[in-house]
Amino acid sequence: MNSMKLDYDITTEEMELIEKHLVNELTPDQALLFDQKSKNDPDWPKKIEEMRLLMLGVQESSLRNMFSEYHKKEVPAQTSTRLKSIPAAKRWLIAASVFIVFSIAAWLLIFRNDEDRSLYAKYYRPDPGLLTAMGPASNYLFEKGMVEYKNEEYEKALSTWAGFARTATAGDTLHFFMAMANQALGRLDSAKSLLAGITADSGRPFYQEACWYYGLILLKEGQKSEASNYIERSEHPGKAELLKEIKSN
Amino acid sequence: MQQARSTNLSLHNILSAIKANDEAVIRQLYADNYPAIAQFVTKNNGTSDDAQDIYQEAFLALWRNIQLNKFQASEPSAISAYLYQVARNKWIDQLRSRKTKPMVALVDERMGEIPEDGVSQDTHQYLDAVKNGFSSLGSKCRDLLNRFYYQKQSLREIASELNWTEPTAKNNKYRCLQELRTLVKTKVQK
Repeated sequence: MNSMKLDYDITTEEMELIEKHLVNELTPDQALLFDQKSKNDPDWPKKIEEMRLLMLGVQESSLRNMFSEYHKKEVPAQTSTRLKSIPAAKRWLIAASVFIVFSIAAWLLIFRNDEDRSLYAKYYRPDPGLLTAMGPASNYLFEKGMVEYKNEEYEKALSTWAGFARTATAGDTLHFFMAMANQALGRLDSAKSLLAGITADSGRPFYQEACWYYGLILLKEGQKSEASNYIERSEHPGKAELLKEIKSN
Repeated sequence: MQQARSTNLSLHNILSAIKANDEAVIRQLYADNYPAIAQFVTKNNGTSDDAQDIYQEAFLALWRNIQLNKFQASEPSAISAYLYQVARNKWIDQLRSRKTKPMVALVDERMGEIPEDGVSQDTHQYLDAVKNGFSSLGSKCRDLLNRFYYQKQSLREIASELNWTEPTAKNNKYRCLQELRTLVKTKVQK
């Protein structure tokens, strides 16, 4: 790393000035000062570039630090199990043992409902939520709840949305995400009743998504045929695979 | 109330969401693309830990290129293709350095070079030095900088959550940034 020469100082005041410039938040006085620096400080362009990279590097470091949590929460359990490090020589032996154990287990699976529940666990993933951009005041409560929802603070989101649900602008979007929060909390009856309205009309926003989650709940309840009907109407990427599995169960 | 979905987004929207560090989109991309790469690494003498490390390196490379406006693509599937290609090439390089023979056939070994990103070596070096320096910072500084620059919390929010005044939050932020810069200078000018 000999080619980079950082042989200048960046004062705290300069850092603030450059930072405001990079996010377009310079006041008129600061803009004047910034122009003066541009004219008089030969290192100014280097300082701007360095601050830009410093801010970016901090964000990259933060993202890297979040990976372990992402990995734990987002990577499906079956992938992690499947990928445990096993010496190559033992793989066939383990695979054979696993096969035998699963064959015996299959005989023991008397209650079909267990299979349906496990299919639910395999295919159910909470909806990732919407992009949030803290917009106009009318949407503030919805956006706030969405941030909480995306942070998996489902109770908090529901209580934020409870106030908003009574306003005139509440609609299918809100009902859908209230259903999602309830479903994530395991309150399937509440989720079902919220989703039922949306699945009744194919022209409504979130119709496809609502059909998928409604179908999953029915599946968990053991209503396979009804569940298939709803899942069929969704456009979820896992739809074909799930329908196949329901059929073969 | 029309909202942009975080799933089924256009390439433009995905790139904007990544630039804004939208957590839901990043999490989903992370989850969607991991299995293919994990399968490749574990079929080629790698463990799940290797797969995770390689994947995270590739993911950071993608994120960095997007932030620097150097990621060129015309459709969303290019993101998955890029991640796979970067991870695959990185893993093959590691196998070579370990002098380990791959277990499954690697079609034409490296799948072609990763497209030139147009980012200078100096830029990569500086950003890597920031990452190194960041991990050497104290936990309070890491938390503060993470809140401000990654989570985009305002100084007012940070001050309120950490029981500081707003000027204290501001002073602490720049103190931490100066501390980080000193660490970076040491690493870059070694």
